[in-house]
Amino acid sequence: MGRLRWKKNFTSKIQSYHDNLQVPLEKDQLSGNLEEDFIHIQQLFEGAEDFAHRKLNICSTYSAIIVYLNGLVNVERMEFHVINPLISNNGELLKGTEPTMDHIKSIMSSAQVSHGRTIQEVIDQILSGGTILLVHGVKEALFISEQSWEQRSVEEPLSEAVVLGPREGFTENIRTNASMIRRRLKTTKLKIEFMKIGTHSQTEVVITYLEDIAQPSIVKEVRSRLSGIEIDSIEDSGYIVEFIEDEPFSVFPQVLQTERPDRVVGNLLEGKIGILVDNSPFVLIVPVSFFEMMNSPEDYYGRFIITSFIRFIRYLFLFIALLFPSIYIAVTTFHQELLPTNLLFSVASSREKVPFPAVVEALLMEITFEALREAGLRLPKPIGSTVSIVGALVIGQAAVEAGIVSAPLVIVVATTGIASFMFPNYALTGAIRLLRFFMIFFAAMLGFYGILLGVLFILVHLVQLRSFGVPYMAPVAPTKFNNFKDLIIRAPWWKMELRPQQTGKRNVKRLASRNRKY
Amino acid sequence: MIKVTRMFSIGMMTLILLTGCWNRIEINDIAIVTAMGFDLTESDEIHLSLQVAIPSKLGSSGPTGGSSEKSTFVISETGSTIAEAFRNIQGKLARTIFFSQSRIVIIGEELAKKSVSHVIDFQTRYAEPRINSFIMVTKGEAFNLIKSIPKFESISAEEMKEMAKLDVSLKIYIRDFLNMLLTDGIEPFAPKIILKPLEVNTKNKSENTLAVDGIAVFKKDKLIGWMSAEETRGLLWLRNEMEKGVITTKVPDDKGGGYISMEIDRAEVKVVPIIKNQDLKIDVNIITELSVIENDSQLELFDTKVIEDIQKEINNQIKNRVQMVVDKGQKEYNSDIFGFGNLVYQKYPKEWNANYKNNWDQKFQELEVSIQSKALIRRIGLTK
Amino acid sequence: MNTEKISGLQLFYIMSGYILGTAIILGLGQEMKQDAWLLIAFGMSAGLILMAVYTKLASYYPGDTLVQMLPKIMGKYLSYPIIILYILHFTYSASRACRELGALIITTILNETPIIIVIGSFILLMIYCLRGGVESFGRVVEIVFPIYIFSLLFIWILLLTVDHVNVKNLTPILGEGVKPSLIKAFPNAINFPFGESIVIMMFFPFLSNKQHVRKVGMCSLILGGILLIINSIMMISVVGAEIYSLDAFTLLTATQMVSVADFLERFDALVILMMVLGVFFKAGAFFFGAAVATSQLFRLKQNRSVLLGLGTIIAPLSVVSASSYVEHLEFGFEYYVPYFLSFLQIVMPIMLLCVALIRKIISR
Repeated sequence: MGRLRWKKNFTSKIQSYHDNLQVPLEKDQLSGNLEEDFIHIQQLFEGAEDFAHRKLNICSTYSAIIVYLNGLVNVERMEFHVINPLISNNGELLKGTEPTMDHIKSIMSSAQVSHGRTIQEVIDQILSGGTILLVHGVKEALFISEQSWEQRSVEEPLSEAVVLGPREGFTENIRTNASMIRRRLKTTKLKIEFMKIGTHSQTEVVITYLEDIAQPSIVKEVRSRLSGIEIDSIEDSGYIVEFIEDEPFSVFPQVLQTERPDRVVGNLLEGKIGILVDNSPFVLIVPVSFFEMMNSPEDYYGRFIITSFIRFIRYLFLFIALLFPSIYIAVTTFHQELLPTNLLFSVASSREKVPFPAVVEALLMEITFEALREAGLRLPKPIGSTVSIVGALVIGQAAVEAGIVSAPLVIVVATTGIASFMFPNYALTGAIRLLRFFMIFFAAMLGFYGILLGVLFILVHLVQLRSFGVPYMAPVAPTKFNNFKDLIIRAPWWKMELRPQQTGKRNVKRLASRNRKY
Repeated sequence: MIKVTRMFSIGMMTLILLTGCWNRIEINDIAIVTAMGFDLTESDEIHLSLQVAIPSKLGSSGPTGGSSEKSTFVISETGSTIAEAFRNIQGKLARTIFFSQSRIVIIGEELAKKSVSHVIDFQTRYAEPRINSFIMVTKGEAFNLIKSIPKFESISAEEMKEMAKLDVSLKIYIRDFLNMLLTDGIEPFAPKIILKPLEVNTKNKSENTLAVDGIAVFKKDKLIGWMSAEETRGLLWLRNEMEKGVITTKVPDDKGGGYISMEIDRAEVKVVPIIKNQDLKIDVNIITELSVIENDSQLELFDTKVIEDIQKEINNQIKNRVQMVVDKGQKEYNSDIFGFGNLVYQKYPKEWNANYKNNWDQKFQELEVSIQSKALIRRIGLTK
Repeated sequence: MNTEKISGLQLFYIMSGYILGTAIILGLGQEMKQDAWLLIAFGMSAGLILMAVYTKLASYYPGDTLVQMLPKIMGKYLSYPIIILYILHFTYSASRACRELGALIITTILNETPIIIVIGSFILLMIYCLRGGVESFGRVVEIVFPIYIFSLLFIWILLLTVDHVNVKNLTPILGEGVKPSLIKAFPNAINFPFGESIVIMMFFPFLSNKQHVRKVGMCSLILGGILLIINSIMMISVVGAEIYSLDAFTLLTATQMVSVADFLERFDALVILMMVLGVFFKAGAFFFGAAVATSQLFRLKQNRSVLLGLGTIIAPLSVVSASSYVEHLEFGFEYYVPYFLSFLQIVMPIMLLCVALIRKIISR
């Protein structure tokens, strides 16, 4: 009882902080008095030394002030398109009349210009890299978009390498990313909805979908889940994943993260919804099924027969990655009768000197392997290869020779390791790696029967999962035979006439059946 | 929901914590039995001998090549039942005895004469031994065979297995033996395995090697006699299992003498029971296709007439051979190892139940068996 | 609960797997020796008639489970004891299936493990699965059933490679005459496993397309029956009629005969897989039936707690109900199946159908 009360107090304490997450907005309007407004803004930016301003006189009559943040603005372009025209204008246009923003706009040669009336808007604009022009006597501020900051150029995606197929990957800039999608879908049906998440970061998030294919109910669900997020800052799309997943306690990823614009577009065409997050090269795709996680974008570019074969191998190695160590344990410690006699002899002879039980041995090796893998990832690239050399030497050679582990187990662990590198989806790899340990425990408990139970537990969990209302194991459970064309076998493109039924039932037909009928 | 999840996870936790490892046994804690031998001691006890593999001498990664050292050892003990003898052996062995890899069951003559039913029962009832083990009977003691030294393989049990699988003999699994034992109208038999000198016609004393040499004939679960290798071939004919084999025929002296050897390409045997006017008759039809592999006679084989003559000769020979086995089964042993009774049951179940089932022993002895053979020489080889 | 639906395919898979369930491993009609497959065929045809009765009842009371339609047919007070009998039937049958799984696992691969651990962990799995409702059960079956069928086909193909596979083992057909065979067959062959498909009446209201009720029921019975027939023919050909009639786990024994090229052998694991999956279908369907029946009898809104309760009953019941496997089989096939099940699966449904017909005529 006491523990429960403590817990209650604790949670209520957190809640009292919780609900004041929203930063109070500046409600003041611009007064029109240049000096007053400028000081107001300057006060807000007190202590931010990248805050820059320049005073000038338009047509040498109206005093004005330009405000921006250093480093976010392309100064050269600003000089050329804004300051230069304003100063050098002889003032004919403005003569005699009160200056309005429309007049001033017409002087400048900048392309993206807008205006606003509140201090809050001004602040938002400055923070997101805009340049503000305040003119004395005008109750509006002019926002000039001449942003420019250092950014990575479009590069080949690292996490989803392909041999055949487009080489461009998303960058950290959401505008670039959106443009890459737009470039591939030249249709007005492509909707790109902006929203902002994060009280401090004000990260731009884009929901994109094809209006005529995506189901409105799912779009609505995505929108409401996204707008429900209240957090100070979003650093990467990975943050968002955890907020919008259906079952956050599952090890299986229920949102597809991809770096590839072609993959996003392919998915949009199947009725999926893409979520782009500023500052993250990973675009989220929902809803997604387990089997889509197992597909690589290259599957759709290569020859379909070979692709089908490779997919088959991939599923085979899914089982190897998940079960090989546990099967080894089950067979060597429970069901020695299952091994052919000669194989049993060679396994037995190599285990003869090993001091540990097979379970301990396997766990030891698996954990070491995971450590090696993590070490190789975290180290700077040039040193990374050292880790693999040391690992190979330590594990492969020395441990076997010293009789601490048996050679067959090294083979098992190595195969499992290779198998776990085969999956196109990084998040899924993690799930399989974790579940492998779970399966080892099951095998150590009840042998082969335990493995069966463990697999069934995983299956039951999988079929209960949903991604935005769509069953995770679709189209296998519930079975939709029509969608089997893109499961383990990838049918040729001209045979995949229909979109996946779970997400694309609004606009079922994707290609005409008269293809290749010549 | 949360409650259920919590209860569930508590259940799982207790399961994980409680489950020690009831059945867990490391691979290096088992003594892998490769062959089993059963004998009868003079005091009517069962003498069980096991051939146990020594893994460290067997694996490729072992420190020694293992050729000089033995890779198996034999351990034996007596007891009034097999299980008791097995327990007694376990008392002498540091590792758990593990039967599942054993595919060889050898039964000594004395025990076989008494009864083999407990061996069969142990093999089928106890979970570890496999039903597809090969069962063999030896003249003398099974112990000697278990102890024999292998030639090719590292373990003699492997050699026995390979030998049992060769087509020259009959493959009898425990399953088959049990089936023959249980089914009415067929008596069991098993291959006979013995130790034979490796080389013949030499003066120095030769090493012994394993050899399959005929079969052991049972009546119910008791051994009643043997059949030689030659007679066994007759049985192979009758069971339609003749797949490989050589038939040699002697050419009469008036035609020049000499021998012709032929290989059997295909043999098809039909054994049909016929009941006519209350009389039971067994028809055996044998069709054989042969090709000549050796001819040291004067005969010109490139001649259909000659071929026909030879075919006739072969027909006689096959008939005689089969007749000999049938006679031996009927007259000498009175044991229906051919399964004629079962064939009758399969074809005439009502008559079988009414007339034959209860006195088959007697009826079998009087059974008329007519054998027809049709041999066809299809090829005469590369030379004319 | 009632908002969840399963598709016709899912129910078809569940019921086919349910019929194959334990029957395929245990070896049906062992007392008939080489005529076992005829017995199964007979049981199947009788089962089809029973299925017609069940589906007819379902068509009179669409949207009702057996438990819901009983009071409507029999009246409130008369129906309660019968409902309780059905709940007992489903619960005990689920525990029987678990016991058979436990016995197989214990006698073959885990002979030192306490049986309660084997069964208990299985029940935990069942609870976890059924907690997600009939939908989750249906989907797991959808994934697992094809695997089940493939492993069965694979085992058959392997069995064809065994030495001395002899179809002649099946002869003579009906050597003892038709009559004694039928007498032997009478209640047991119908009741187990075909009559047990009465549990399908607990699933009908969850079927998404009500028109498919009869089709699904019949097809699953036919598929299950045909596979069982082929299986028994295979078994008898491989191990022989005598061993078939003696063996406790025929499929396992037959599979042990497999040895292809000295390397492809020992597919025992595949049989264990089939047994676990088979019991998963069977115990799952019974378990679900019992849970739905109980929650409907007491008008509970959800059946999660019922599942937990039943799980805690089934697991110990399967262990306690018989002190040995022999006792278990003896009780099952000499008392439970011929008398208790005949009443609940043959007499009762036919009676219900008659009453329902009469009621229908009167109301018109």
